[in-house]
Amino acid sequence: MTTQIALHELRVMLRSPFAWLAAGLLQLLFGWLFLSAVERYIALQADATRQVSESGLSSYLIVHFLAPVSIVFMVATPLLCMHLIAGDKQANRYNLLLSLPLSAAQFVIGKFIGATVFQYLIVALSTVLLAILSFDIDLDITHLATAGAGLLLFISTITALTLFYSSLSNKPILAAFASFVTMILLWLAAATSGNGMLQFASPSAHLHSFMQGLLDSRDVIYFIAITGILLTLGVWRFDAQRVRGRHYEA
Amino acid sequence: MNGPMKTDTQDPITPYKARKRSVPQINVGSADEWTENSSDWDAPLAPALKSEPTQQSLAMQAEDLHLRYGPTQILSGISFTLHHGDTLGLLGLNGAGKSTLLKALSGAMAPERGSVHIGNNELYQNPLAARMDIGYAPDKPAIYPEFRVIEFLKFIATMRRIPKTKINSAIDNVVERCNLGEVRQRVIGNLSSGYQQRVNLAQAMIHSPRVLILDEPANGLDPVQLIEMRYLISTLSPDQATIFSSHSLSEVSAVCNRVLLVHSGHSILDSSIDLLSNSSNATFDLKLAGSNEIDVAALPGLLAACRIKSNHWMVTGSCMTAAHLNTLLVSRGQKILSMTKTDNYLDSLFRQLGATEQAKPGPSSDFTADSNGIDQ
Repeated sequence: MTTQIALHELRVMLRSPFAWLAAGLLQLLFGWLFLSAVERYIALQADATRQVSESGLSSYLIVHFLAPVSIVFMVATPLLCMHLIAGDKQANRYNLLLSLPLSAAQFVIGKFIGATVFQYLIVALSTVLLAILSFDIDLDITHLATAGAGLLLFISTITALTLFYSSLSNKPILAAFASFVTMILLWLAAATSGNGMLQFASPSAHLHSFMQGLLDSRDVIYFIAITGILLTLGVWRFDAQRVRGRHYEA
Repeated sequence: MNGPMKTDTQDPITPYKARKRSVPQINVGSADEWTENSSDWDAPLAPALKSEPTQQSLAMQAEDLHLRYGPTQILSGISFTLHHGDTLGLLGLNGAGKSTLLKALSGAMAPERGSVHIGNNELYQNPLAARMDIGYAPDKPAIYPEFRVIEFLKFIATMRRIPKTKINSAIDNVVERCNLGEVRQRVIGNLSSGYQQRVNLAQAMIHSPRVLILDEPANGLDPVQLIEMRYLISTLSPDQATIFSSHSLSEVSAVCNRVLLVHSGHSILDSSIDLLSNSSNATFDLKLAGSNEIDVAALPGLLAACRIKSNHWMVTGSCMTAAHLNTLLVSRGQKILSMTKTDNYLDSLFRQLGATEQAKPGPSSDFTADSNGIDQ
């Protein structure tokens, strides 16, 4: 049943003009980021009269292409996922969905998977750019793959955060705003607080290790745990109305 | 847009009338059977409801439902039973708690207290099994506007756990019954509100539920579509029961064989439509004086009694005269302020409830507009 809901959510996104528009704009932005990164790298190499080395270009692409892409997703994911539950409330579907013979976990996880897969498809399209480059240049695939895995985990976490906020609100735009503000605050906290707790709590800080090519189990566990906690909160919230004894407000 | 009514009879109401006639006759019990717990709104239900149903015929049983939003009590001790073949009209002014009650019955909103049995499953103890037997159509069509009709119905069929091999036939069945054939491949968002309401009905019926819960299904329908909807409900299987909320007395009278009247979250009347509309019965609007309150509903010979407020009752009795009622009350030490015979029980009751709400201080003005919406 979770798979069915995930497929349905994917269909909903694929039918949404806004999702297509967002996906198109993201591809345009990613293409521009990629080409500008490559051009700047070639210019730097020409100045230094050095050969294009595999680790040099890969690192440069990660810093100037994948890292900005992650920042773009801090804005794009809340906008793409804000409707996940709040949209059902706004469109009067919520009570029908609550009355279906589904568990809250099936519903919330299904929606999460559907929305995540849609964004992964957008990321996958942008990897075509890297694939084209790899015909002529030997890239550091391991480094790029590690950074890519970090980006996917990062997107999952923002999706779960937005889904949770979406379960709290009747207005999708509020969910998007709350998610965006949370991510920006955590990002700023990571950038300014040194090695404190705020940095540990920030997804951006954990993404940084991936971008450096370090596959640290603590970072992997962090992303999985945070995503799991947010989904659990979303499940709890979804069931709040239909489970006896939970306090709720209309 | 709206296709002609698809019926196999000249009179779409005829099958329904036949169904109404098939409802078992209600036994009028003795007053002693129903005088307990009669202190407040909860009390005055007609003795007719004390007919003993067989367990097999029971489609739904709601007991003592209480529900609140924050500090506001929305439902207070609502109980009723629904048998296979019943069409229960849920009536009440705006804000009475009708939609909330339907949400609680559909499993979308858990009550604080009380139970809802659908067949052998309690809705909040065995929710997944119980929900399999419920079809719920919210007041505003719960649709995905970007989907085609057929795609939306397929999604709902999957969610209702209809086996893959039977999904297409289930869809064909509801598409035919709801007369959606010519729009089945169209995008729902481009359909008229009448067709969207039909899609809403179709999704509720697709799995042939034991209990069909329809929250104001007449919203957005034109007169022809209203007749079609009545016909649709009339052609439901005798193994199914329907709960149907409406502001329209005429709608409920035409479609339902029972009526449950909700006011301020309390069930104040649960009776058969036949009983209320029987011309041999007499209905009185009764106002009593003094603080010596008695339970009027406990008087012998009454078929239905409803307390509008303290010492203000609407009562119906079979072949009852004003003199007889006067004797009964005076012999119990009651002083009668006024006693008016009325023609239409539900109509009069609604007017009285509307007047009561208007007389309340504070936000009662809401009800002024609401009572205007009642179809007389």
